[in-house]
Amino acid sequence: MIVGGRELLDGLVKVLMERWTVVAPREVEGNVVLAPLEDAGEIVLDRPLNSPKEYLLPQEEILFEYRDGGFKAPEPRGYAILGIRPCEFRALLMLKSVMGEDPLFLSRWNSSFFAVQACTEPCPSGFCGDLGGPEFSGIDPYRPLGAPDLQYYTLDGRVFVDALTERGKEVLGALRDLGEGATEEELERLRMRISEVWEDMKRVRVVGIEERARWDHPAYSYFAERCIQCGACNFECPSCFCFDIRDEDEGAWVRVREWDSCLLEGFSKMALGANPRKREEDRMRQRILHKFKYFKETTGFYMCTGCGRCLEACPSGIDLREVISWLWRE
Amino acid sequence: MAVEGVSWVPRLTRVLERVQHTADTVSLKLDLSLNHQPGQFVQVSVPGVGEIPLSVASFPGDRLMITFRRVGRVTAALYGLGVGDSIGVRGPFGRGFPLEGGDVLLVAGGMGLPPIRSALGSILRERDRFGTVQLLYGARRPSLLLYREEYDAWRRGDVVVSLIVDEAEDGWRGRVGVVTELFDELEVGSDATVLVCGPEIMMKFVGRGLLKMGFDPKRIYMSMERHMKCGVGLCGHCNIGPYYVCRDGPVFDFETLRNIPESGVI
Ligand SMILES: Cc1cc2nc3c(=O)[nH]c(=O)nc-3n(C[C@H](O)[C@H](O)[C@H](O)COP(=O)(O)OP(=O)(O)OC[C@H]3O[C@@H](n4cnc5c(N)ncnc54)[C@H](O)[C@@H]3O)c2cc1C
Ligand code: SF4
Ligand code: FES
Repeated sequence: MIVGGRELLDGLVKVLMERWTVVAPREVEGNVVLAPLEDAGEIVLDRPLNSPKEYLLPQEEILFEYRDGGFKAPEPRGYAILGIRPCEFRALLMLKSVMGEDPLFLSRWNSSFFAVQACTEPCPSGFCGDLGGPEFSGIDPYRPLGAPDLQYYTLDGRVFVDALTERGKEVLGALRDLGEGATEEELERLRMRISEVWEDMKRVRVVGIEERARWDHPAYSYFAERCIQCGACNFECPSCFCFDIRDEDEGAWVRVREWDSCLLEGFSKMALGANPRKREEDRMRQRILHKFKYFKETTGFYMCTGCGRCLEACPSGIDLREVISWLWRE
Repeated sequence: MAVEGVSWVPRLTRVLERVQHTADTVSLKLDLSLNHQPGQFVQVSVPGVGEIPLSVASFPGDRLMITFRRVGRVTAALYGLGVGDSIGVRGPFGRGFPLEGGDVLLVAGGMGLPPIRSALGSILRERDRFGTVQLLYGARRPSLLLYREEYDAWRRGDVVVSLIVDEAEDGWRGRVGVVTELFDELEVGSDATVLVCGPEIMMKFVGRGLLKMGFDPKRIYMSMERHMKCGVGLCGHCNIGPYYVCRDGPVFDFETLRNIPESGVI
C-alpha cells in the first residue's frame, strides 16, 4: 500500500491513460457521473449517479451486422474503471458469472482494469453489511470469483492505494515516487473508519433471506401495488443482466440487444397474449425471488450486493431494504 | 452458467421445400443437416425481422425441418418465405427427451407435435430397442391434425396412433374430446417413459391423469414454452424457478416441474 496526496490519484489516472480509456467519477453539468475522463485532474471522490454496468454491458449494443454478403461481429475493448464501490465491483462479478460466456461481454471484461474506491464515508442507501462490506478485502466472500486490480481509500485528505492483482502491482510500482509507505497509525485509523461504516451497513441483514422468500409471501403484492413499471430499478442495478434482442433493417441486417426489465409486462408475454406473469405482483415476485432465492440456490451468491441504487432510482419510493425486512418479519 | 462458447451469428441457409399444412401452419425444410436430440429447439432468424425458438421437427441427422403457426411478427415473416429464400439458424439448444428404451407413450396437443415427431423418428430407426410405443394426439379440428400423411408409416412401424379432436368435421369418424380421454385406449404399461408437448393446460391434466394411473413423475417428460430471446441462458426471459427453459429445458421431468409453482402444469 502507498499513501499520498491528491497527486497520487491524478498520477494513477495518468498511468492508466497510457493504455486505457479511463472511466471515473467526474463532474458533468453539476452532477457526478461515471464517465470517460479527458484529463487526469477531472477525477472526483464522490459516488457517481450511474453504476458501472454500462461499461461492460452497454444499454444498447450491436450483436452483429450483415452487409455485403458477410457477417461482422464487434470485438469491443474494455475500460480502466476507477472509483466504483466494492458493492458495485461485486455486482460486476455477478454479472460476469452470468454473462461470462457472452463474446462481447467477455471481450470487454478481459481487457478492463478495475480500481475500487473503498467506502470511508457513511453510505445513505447501501446495505452491504452481509455482502462483503465497505472494502474488498483479501477474505472478501466474492474473492473466489475475482478481485479488482487496485483498491483506494481516502481519509483526512490522504489517498491510500493498494494492489490486489499482479497487474495492479505493476501499476502501483509506477507510482512509487508519488507516495510513501503507510504508517501503523494511519492504517489503524483507516481500519477503524472502515469498521464503523461496516457496522452501520449491518442494519439490513440478508444472509438466510432465501429461506424466508416464500412463493406466497404477501410482500410481493404489497409492493407491486406501488410499482409503476418503469424499469428504473433494473436499469440502475449493476447486477441485473436481462436483455432483449431485436433486428433492425436499414440497408443492412443489424441485430441489437438492449437492457430489459422483468417488471415490464412484455417481458414474459408470449404470442397471442399468453403471459405466465400477468399480474404486477407476479413480476415483483420474480424480481425478488430471482435475486434472493433462485440465484442464491444455483450459484451460492445473491444477485444483489446491497448498493442501494434501485431504491434511489425508484420514483414510487419502493425501498428494497423495506422489502427485505418484510420478508424477515412475516 | 450459460451455454459454452456462445455465438450470436447464425448459420445462413436456404429453404428447400415449403409444405402448407393448414391455413396458418407450414413446414419448411432447410438446406442444413442437424444432429440434435429430439425435443431440442433451434433459434430461427428471418434476416432483418427477428429470431424465434422453434422445435426441431425433423429426425436426427436429416435435413432440418421446422413446423410453425403464424401467430405474430416473426412467424408471419417466416410464413412468407418461399423455396430458395435465406434463413438463419443457431443451435440446436437445450435438453431434449430421453429415449432409453422400454415402453414409450407420446402425448401431443395441437402445435406440440413437431418435437414429438422428431422423437418418433428416432424410435422408428431403432424400433427393436423399444417395447410398446403409442402416440396420443389431439387437435382442435380434424383438418388441424399435423403430418396426416405420415400416420400410416408410423403405424406400419408398430406405433399405436390414437387421435382425438375437440370438434368433429364432415367425414370424421374418430373420437371427439380432449386428449386425456384417450387414456382409456392406453396400451403401454405404467412403467413407460412419457413424452409430452402441448399447451400448459393440457400438460397439467395429462400429468394429473398419469399420476392417478400410477405413472412415475420422474419418467414423465414435458416440454415447456416461455418467451425466449437468446436461447443460451443469458437474456433471462425464460426463467422459471431456479431454471432457464432454454438451457435447462425445454424438456423437464414432471417431478421437477411439480416443485415450481410458476410451471403452470400443477
Ligand atoms: C422451445 C420452444 C419451441 C417452440 N417450438 C415451436 C414450434 O415447433 N412451432 C411453433 O409454431 N411454435 C413454436 N414455439 C413458439 C414460437 O417460438 C412462438 O410462436 C414465436 O416465438 C412467436 O413469435 P412471433 O414473433 O411470431 O410472435 P410475437 O407475438 O410477435 O412475439 C414477439 C417475440 O416474443 C417472443 N415470443 C413470443 N411468443 C413466444 C413463445 N410462444 N415462445 C417463445 N418466445 C416467444 C419471441 O422472441 C418473439 O419474437 C416454440 C417455443 C419454444 C419456447
Ligand atoms: S423503479 Fe420502482 S416503480 Fe420503477 S419498476 Fe422498479 S420498483 Fe417499479
Ligand atoms: S432465452 Fe435467454 S435465458 Fe433463456
